[in-house]
Order: sequence, then C-alpha cells, then structure tokens
Amino acid sequence: MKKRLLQLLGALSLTAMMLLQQGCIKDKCVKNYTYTYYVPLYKTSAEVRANIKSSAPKAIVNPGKITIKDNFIYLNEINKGIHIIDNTNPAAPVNIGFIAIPGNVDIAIKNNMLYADLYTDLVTIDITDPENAMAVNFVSGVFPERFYYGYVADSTKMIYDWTTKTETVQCSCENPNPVYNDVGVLLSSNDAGSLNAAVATPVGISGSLSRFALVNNYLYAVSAAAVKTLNISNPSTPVITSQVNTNWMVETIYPFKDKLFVGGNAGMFVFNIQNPANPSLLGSFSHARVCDPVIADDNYAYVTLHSGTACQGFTNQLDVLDISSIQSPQLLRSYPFTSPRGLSKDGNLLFICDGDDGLKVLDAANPNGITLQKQIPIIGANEVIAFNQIALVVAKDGLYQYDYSDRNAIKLISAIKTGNP
Amino acid sequence: MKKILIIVCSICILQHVTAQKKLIHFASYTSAGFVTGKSPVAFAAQTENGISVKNWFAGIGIGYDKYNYKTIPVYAALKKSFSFKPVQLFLYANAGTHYLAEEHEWKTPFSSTTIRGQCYGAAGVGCTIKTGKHTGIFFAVGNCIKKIHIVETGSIQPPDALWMYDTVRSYSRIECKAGFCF
Repeated sequence: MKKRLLQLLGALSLTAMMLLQQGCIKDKCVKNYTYTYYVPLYKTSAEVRANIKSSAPKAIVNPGKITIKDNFIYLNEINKGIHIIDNTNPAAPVNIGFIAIPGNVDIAIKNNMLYADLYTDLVTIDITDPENAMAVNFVSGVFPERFYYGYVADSTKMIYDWTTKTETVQCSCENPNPVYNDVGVLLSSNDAGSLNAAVATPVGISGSLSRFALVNNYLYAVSAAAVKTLNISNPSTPVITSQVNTNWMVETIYPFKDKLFVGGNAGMFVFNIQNPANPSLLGSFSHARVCDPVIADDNYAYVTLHSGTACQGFTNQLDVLDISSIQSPQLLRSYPFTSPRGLSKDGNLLFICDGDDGLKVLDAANPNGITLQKQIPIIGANEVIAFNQIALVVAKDGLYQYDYSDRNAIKLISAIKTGNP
Repeated sequence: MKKILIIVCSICILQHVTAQKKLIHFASYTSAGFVTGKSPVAFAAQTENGISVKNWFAGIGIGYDKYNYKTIPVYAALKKSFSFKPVQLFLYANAGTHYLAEEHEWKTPFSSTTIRGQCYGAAGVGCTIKTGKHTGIFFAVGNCIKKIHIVETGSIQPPDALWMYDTVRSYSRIECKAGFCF
C-alpha cells in the first residue's frame, strides 16, 4: 500500500512538474490574411482608342454617374464605359448601346459632344447619333494623378479590364501589416454631376457627384487637388487653359450662374468664373473630413457629408449653408442622415440619396426647417437628378425613374435593374 | 438542450435504479479558482455533474473562464480516483467547447468581426479530503487549453475587393482550483 502511494505521488509530482514546464504555458496565435487583388488586362492604347464607339448594349453591372441630354440617359458603368439609354418614354427606357471607355467615371455633354475621362486622358465623343457615337479627339494627361490598384497606365497600353485573384498569407498577430492591392479611389467613385435646370439646354444635365462642369465654352474638371479649365470653343478639340491647385482633395463640382461650387474632403469652396478661363477662389466653408457633394441656388448651398473608406470621417448629415455672402458662407443648419450622397433640388423639393435608406424626398421650402416628405426604399441609392418632374435615381442595383409631378403621390414609373440589358 | 435533458434524466434513472447497490451514484464537483499563463491571471469557476462508478466519475461540466476572453466552457468531464483514506487523489481530463460570454459580433462601415470559441480542454491532478461518504472538499491543479477563432472580414472600395483575417488564438494555462463535491 505504502509503495503504491509513493508511486502515485511520484507520478503526480511528475505530472505537476510537466504542467509547469514552459511549453505548457503559452499564448499561441496563428493569423492568416486572405485578400482578393486585381490583375489588370491590357490592350494597346491604339486598340482602346479605336474601340471607343457605340456598340451593342450591355447589361448594367456597376452603375456610376449619370448625365441626361435630350431624350437620352448616359449612364456610366464604373471604369468600363457608358450605357446609352433611350428615355423617350420614361415608362419604358431602352438600353440601346454601350461605349467602351476603360477607366471612365465622369461624363459631361454639350450639344452633340460628350466628354469623358479615359484614365489619365480626356476623350471627346461625337454623339450626334447616339447609336453611332465615335471618338473624335483625345487630350492626354488631363488627369495625371490617376492610378489603379498600383498599376499605372503607360503611353503604350491601357487597362481595359480586371481579373481577380485570391491569396492567403500568414502574418503576425501583433503587426498584421496586410498587403493591400487596392488603392483605386478613383475606381471607387460611384459618383456622377448638378442641380437641374428648368429648361432644355444644350448642356447635358449631370448629377451632384460629377467632377465635370460645363459652362458656356468651358469645361471645368476637378482632379485630385486641382480645378482644371478646358476651352471647348472648338467642341471637338478641348484645350487646357488653366489649372488652380488646391490644398485639399477635390471631389465634386457644381456650376451655378457665374460660380463653381467645389466639394472637397475638407469643405465647400466657391470659385468665381466671371473670367471663365481662369477661375479664382471666392470663399469657402470648412467641415469635418468627409465626402461632400454640393448643389446650390441663389441663397443656399446644400452639402451632404458622408463617411466612407475613401472619404474617412464619421459625419453623415446635410448641411444647409447661407451663401448670401459668398465670400463667407455660414452654416444655417445641419440635418442628420444615414449615408447621404447625391442630391438634387427642383423647386422646393429636395431629393437626397441616403445609401441603403433609399431616396428621401424633402420639403425644403424653409431651409431652416426642412421636413421629410417621403422615403422611397432603394438599396444603395447613390445619385439623383430631379428634372422635368422625373427623378432619375442611380442605385446599387440599377436605374430607377420616379414621377413626382404629384408630390403627394410620387410613383415609380420604370426601373432598369443591374444584370439586365 | 434536448440531448442534455435526456442525459440528465438518464443519470437520475440510473441513480434511482442503482440506489440499492450504491455502485453508481450521482456526483457533483463544483470549484472556483484561477488560471494563469502568459496573459494576466484570471478567475475561473466550474461545476461538473454526472455519475460516479466505483473510482470513476463521468459527467458534464459547465463553467466560466475570464482568461483574455470571457467564455463559458461546456465539456465532458472524466475523473479517476485513487483512495488513500481519508484522502483521495484523482486524475482528471475535460474536453469540449466554449462560448463567448461577451460581445462577439460587431460591424463597422468597413468590416465585420466574429469571435467564436473553439475547443476547450483540461487535464491535471487533484486531491479530495473526504468529509462524508460521498462528500468532500478538493483541490486540483492542471493544464487548461482554450482556443478562440476570430474572423474579421471587410472590403476595400471598390469594386469590393475583399479581405479577411482568420485568427486562431490558443491559450495554454495552468489552472488551480478548489471546491466541494458530493
């Protein structure tokens, strides 16, 4: 019995000693980082340029900015090109063609010329007959700062598409230091360009997210930290006339009368274009670091601030600014929103895309007491143009049109969903 | 839950059926103590309930473990006792899983994180000082392991380039506990 007890105690002591060994006391961590990255598919610049013309319609996959001109809607397919939609009957819009423009996110139209970005270049497309549109001119290096996922398009070849790859690597738990293959801020622009005009104009109407603005014979394009002016007196051959560099990142531009309202990630800036070839800074209003499309009328500017990966910041609200003194805009009132993006105003009705909260229609008769009139559920509402009693809404899953001729009975009249031509 | 009820009922029936012979009886071990390892010392408590057959005990345990993550271990417990009156020495082994007892899912505009408990296990030695036929107080020391699985996913705008961190944290600690049994 005594021998057995001793044996047992010995075994227990040994077990206890083993437990106290360093190997038994440890915090172990294994961390794997899985990421998807994009590999570019190239074509020569000549091939790409030769292919910029109307082709068969394609399904909308990733809708971006929008411009309307006459009976046509020009809808950007982010980084891929432009869908041409015949909207003669808004209740039955017809996708009639597609212009392949790699790296395209912005559109502006004057008369029968469409201006679009082609990565670092600006392309002019004759849309006299939208079904037979074709490129007529290229200006190289207008947007030199553009870079995509770490790849820079050179002068001989261009990225026309991307393919994805997924990799998993083991990394340190304390300092993960992930390998990001992204960057594509420009790729991420779900943006598009302006407050509607009340009459048909030779200039296409863009949304508030636009980075192109057309005023008379000048095309203003914002580019990273600069406002560029291009003379389009000869519509088919734009010429850069000036560039105003800024100390802040520029995101959107909205023209109103003889002024340009520029949304930057640090505030709203007003430029005077009385000398249209050389815009000059007139005033500004600073806010938290967020994205901020802006529209304006004679007395007020409406700025939606939203947070997001590329925008940083955590503010989501509508700021109404009193711009009666244009040199020093004053905040009149802020209204909380969920993730406000594109906005448009027609009369007293203010339309705001509020992300997954959908489209919000507000009564803005009193800018100091804006009230919600109607909320329309649309997933990922991003951009809106309210024009001629029809609100065109670009959302994550397609293009919607609402008739608001009766503001108390706003109704859906048509929708082109993503995935459908 | 249904399985647990069946097991508990089975234990009760077995206890009743064998009450005359006393070969099998219900037994319960409840303890509290601490776990210590590379991370700061933390509180832990457990209760194990099951059946005792001669020198063996088998049951189900549930507890609370504050080491790094607050978790609730749920496990199968096994003990083998060696009687040296009035003291009983025992070896024990536990194996099971554990559940987070704190916030374990959250989202930001850019990512989402989920934390789950993976395996849980312990093994060690102890000694029971008998205070009655089936009652006593006990002390135990052993090695206890718990694994935590953390998944963080997000997307890089755009067009939705996805990323994921998949992390498994494994904590091997010494546990020291004291309690009572009946």
